[in-house]
Amino acid sequence: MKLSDYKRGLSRVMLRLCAVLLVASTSACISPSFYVDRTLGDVPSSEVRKIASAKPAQLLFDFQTKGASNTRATDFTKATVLSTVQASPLFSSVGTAPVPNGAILSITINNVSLTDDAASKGFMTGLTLGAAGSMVTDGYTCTVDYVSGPSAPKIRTTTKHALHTVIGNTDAPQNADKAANANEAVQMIVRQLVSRGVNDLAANPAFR
Amino acid sequence: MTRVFRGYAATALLLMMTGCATVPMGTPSPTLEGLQAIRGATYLALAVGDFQVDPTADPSIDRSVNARSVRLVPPESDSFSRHLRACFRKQLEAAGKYSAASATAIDGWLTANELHAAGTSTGNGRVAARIRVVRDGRVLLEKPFEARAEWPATFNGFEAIPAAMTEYTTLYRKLVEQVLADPEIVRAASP
Repeated sequence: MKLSDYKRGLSRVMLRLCAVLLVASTSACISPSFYVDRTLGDVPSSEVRKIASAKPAQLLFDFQTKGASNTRATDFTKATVLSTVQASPLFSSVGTAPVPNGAILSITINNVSLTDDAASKGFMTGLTLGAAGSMVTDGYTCTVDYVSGPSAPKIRTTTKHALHTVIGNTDAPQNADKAANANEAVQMIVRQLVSRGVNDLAANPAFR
Repeated sequence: MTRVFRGYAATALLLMMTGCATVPMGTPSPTLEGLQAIRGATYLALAVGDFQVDPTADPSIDRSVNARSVRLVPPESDSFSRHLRACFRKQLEAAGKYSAASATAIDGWLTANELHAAGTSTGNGRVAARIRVVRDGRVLLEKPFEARAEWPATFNGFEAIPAAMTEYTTLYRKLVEQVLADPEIVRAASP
């Protein structure tokens, strides 16, 4: 065989392998599945706190990735945050504009990977067409800060949640509910985090 | 051959993950600490005047910055200096201290706008501006300000590009909060 024929054959093989890889990587066989951790869950109606005189509050919301503001994720989830807070009986009304009493409710959700070298794991799953499955876990910490007026002390609650993403051939996580897609999983996590974090504010005697 | 195949596959996957794109950046949300500082300041409602790129700076700093293969552009205009103006207005509005009719205004020039995201160990960014306090057309104060950030980076663009974008975006809020809480600015803008 001539050297040029060998090189041409090699190129064809590599092109086919790359084509297979690209098709496989976009197909369902290694599409990710999303599992919302069950540890936190929704606030049961029996645990929903109420106060005698609910007041209005101005909502600030920031979704962060590794501690830095992620404006795209903030835009993607802010409607869920707003509707969740508006559903709480602790406030008479909640919006983004300043309120006369000066109350501010500040909610920050910070997303960090809890799995070491998550990108490399996913990369290897892609390279092996899903045969080497992997699970990565994202942690979400929701910090709710509240001040009832300009000179009032700050009250804080902190709540944690987790999202497990399974790619390729590996077992589903225990103690987690499968979501239909990433959007549903993230919105569920945000709703559960915010409702719990806001509800826990009222456990503080300084909340008014 | 295995090595070559791995190289081709890795390149293909990396291209799929990173791509080449123009992405509008977001406007960072105000923080509780930032709003409390503005509310505690002695100035009344402020107007926000014109913001432009500094005439001595490279005009290209006003149009885009790059996070590796991603070209980041301002969100609501074609200019980072106007984006800075929008951030000032958003912060003052959220604090209840914005009035377009106020005789006292802040305006300024964008003097530096940098994003360095090519490094595989760290990335960094810098946004700087000259800010003025103006009342009834009279300049009461002119002062330079700067916000910087440095963050860990990796070779993997899938992680490094979003990290650079989020860190860079936050610089505008840092700069605005710094200006509006600065004692000299507060003093100059107060009645």
